[in-house]
Amino acid sequence: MNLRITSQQLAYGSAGNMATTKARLSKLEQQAASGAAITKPSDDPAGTAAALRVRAQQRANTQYSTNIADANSWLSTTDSTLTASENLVRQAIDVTTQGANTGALSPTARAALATQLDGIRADLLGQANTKYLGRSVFAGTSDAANAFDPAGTFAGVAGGAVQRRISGTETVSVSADGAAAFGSGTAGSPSVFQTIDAISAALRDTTGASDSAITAGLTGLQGGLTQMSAVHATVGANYARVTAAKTTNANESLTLETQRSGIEDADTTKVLLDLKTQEVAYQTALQVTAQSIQPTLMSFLR
Amino acid sequence: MASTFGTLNTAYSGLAAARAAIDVTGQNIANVGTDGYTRQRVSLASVPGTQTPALFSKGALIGAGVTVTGIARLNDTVIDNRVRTTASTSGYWDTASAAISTVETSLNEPGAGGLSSTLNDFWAQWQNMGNSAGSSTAAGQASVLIGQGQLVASRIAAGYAAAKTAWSDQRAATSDAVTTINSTAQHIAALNKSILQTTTSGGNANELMDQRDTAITSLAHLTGATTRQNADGTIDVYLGGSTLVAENTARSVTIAGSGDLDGAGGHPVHLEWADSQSPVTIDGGTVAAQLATLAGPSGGTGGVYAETANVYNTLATTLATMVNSALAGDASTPGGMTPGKTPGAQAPFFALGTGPAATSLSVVPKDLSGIAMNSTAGSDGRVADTVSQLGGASGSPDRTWATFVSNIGVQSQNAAAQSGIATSAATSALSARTSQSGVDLDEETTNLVTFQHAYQAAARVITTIDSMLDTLINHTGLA
Repeated sequence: MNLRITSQQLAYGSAGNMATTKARLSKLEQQAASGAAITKPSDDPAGTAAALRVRAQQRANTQYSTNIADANSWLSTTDSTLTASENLVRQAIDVTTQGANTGALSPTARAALATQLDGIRADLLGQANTKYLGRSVFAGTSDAANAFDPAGTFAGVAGGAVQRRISGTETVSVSADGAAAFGSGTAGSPSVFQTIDAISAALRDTTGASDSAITAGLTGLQGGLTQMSAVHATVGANYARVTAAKTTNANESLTLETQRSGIEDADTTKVLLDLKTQEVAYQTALQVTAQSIQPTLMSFLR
Repeated sequence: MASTFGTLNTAYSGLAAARAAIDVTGQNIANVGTDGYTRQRVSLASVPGTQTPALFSKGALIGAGVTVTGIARLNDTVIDNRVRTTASTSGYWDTASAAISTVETSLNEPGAGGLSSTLNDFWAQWQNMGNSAGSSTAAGQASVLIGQGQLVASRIAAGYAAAKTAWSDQRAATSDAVTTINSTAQHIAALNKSILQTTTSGGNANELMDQRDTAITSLAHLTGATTRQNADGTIDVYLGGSTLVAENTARSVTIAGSGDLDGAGGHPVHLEWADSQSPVTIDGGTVAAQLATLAGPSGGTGGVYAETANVYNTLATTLATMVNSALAGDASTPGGMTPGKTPGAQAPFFALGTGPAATSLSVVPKDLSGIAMNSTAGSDGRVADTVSQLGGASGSPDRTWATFVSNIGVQSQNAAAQSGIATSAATSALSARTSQSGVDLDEETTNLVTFQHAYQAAARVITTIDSMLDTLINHTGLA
């Protein structure tokens, strides 16, 4: 047992103690100021790994939110276009129904109805070629400038779905199948534009030889409207999925932020309490050092 | 009985001894703050009476005073050795911990400034690319994606360059340490010589011994050197079992091996004896830690800089391979594509040049026309979506990086803990040393007072004898 305490030993010991307390104080001050419990990996290696994972999920989630917004815009464009198109088809059906009263109409009146149908067709083609950010919404995955050519034939990729990723595991189709909504325009499957063309031509035929084509066209338009509504229902279902995904995404975002904060952020109350405790410890160390370093026997001998 | 004047001489020896003791006390007080100073004590011995008139002569024989037999240096060899051993261990861990800590800080993880965040952004931009496939925003998005790809490549290259610079700095520091080792060894040899000369001629070499101890401790801190005390008072110093200092001769060491990080695996940095070119074994201390951090890569347990550089290379290679094969793999209908579509295997996103993968990683496409993103003719953006999901795949750069960051964290935590333990052991040894060999002012003050009184009392004896002699000579027998 060595009980010899020298001046130098006291000085070293005090300096060491003060340095240790000061280091603890500095660490706590850093935590309190930055609010972060993990400022470097060695603060908590396991927590760092978890933080990296959560941060990656957060970034992915933010991106899904962007994707959802994009899908939302795309689908709402498609939705409103289909609503407008259905109205136009209904107008065409009304006009055709009037034109089907072959006995009561003068050739001039029939020609006027035909002109009206031509107008409706032009509007409908415009709707069918609606674009979102430069892409035809009904053309599927095709890059064709327009989903339907002026002759009313489908130029896109039938069934080719453009998809948006709305979560890590889920994608949703944002494009509507133009061939299903408006008819492909190939042999045996006339597009709604070709049907209107046929009716318009029959109305202009004053000989009455084509009158049966008007009735057939009416049936065709009604069938087209049913198809269009079916596609609209699919778009509506996708729209509902995207809306649901938006809520899920927002919830997920909150959960992830809570997780990240739980891993990375300092418990402020605890840090402040510890900080106060360490401050007291440091001041005590200073005071004690000041008291113990000063006196030697020299101070008392005269 | 002593002669009439004998007591005067006895009292004078007391005066001389007290003065010598006060001188030594003064020396101690003067060196109260000197690093490595060992307190001294004057060794006194009483002088026996010299007269031996006859074998069986009676009568009390009074001593003839006091003599200074030497000046003792109050050190403890065991404690001195403990100071050296702990200095070596704390030197090792301080350096190792500092090296890992430097790497750790350079990672900027966790946070927005780290590589993981850049990678996350990169994958997200691929989704934006897929979203904008075929739309009017595609060209703009392509520039963003290419920019982000270049950012990833430059971050990886910068990380590699930082590891390489840190390696070179550490090698330079080791080189400096070698210079210090050689000069310290020469200093110790010179001190051995002076000490031997001084002690042989009966002198006091305490201060030289203090200097030698300080030099040996700093050498132990650097290299973990061990010592052996010789009978003549000189000290031999050993590095890994081989002699560095033998009495008054010192050998020198040189640094050898690769001059840059890339060659560290093939030609490890090591120390050699300048005379024989055989390798020097360094058991501990700063230099051992420096050599360990300078070591080449070895499956995750090699030198920290080399392992870090290796991870950056792995990241670059994995990133290029995964992205490019995802792009090539999904290109189901190559040929006949309009620009910016699906040229398939002919459109890699990343390219690796010659040299380390981390520094040669580059982005191939210059604009939209070079980016593959669709799985069919037209614009479905599926390939872009596939690429965007690579970050979460097993074996992805993100996973490699997260594992590495976490490993560095564990290593840094361990090294810091070891360093803390070693420092506390060193502090405790140093405290024991200052307790044993340090100057205590209270004690010195007490000694000062004691010897002052001894001096005064001895002087008083002389006064008394003087007065006695005065009585005898001037007043005895006179009328």
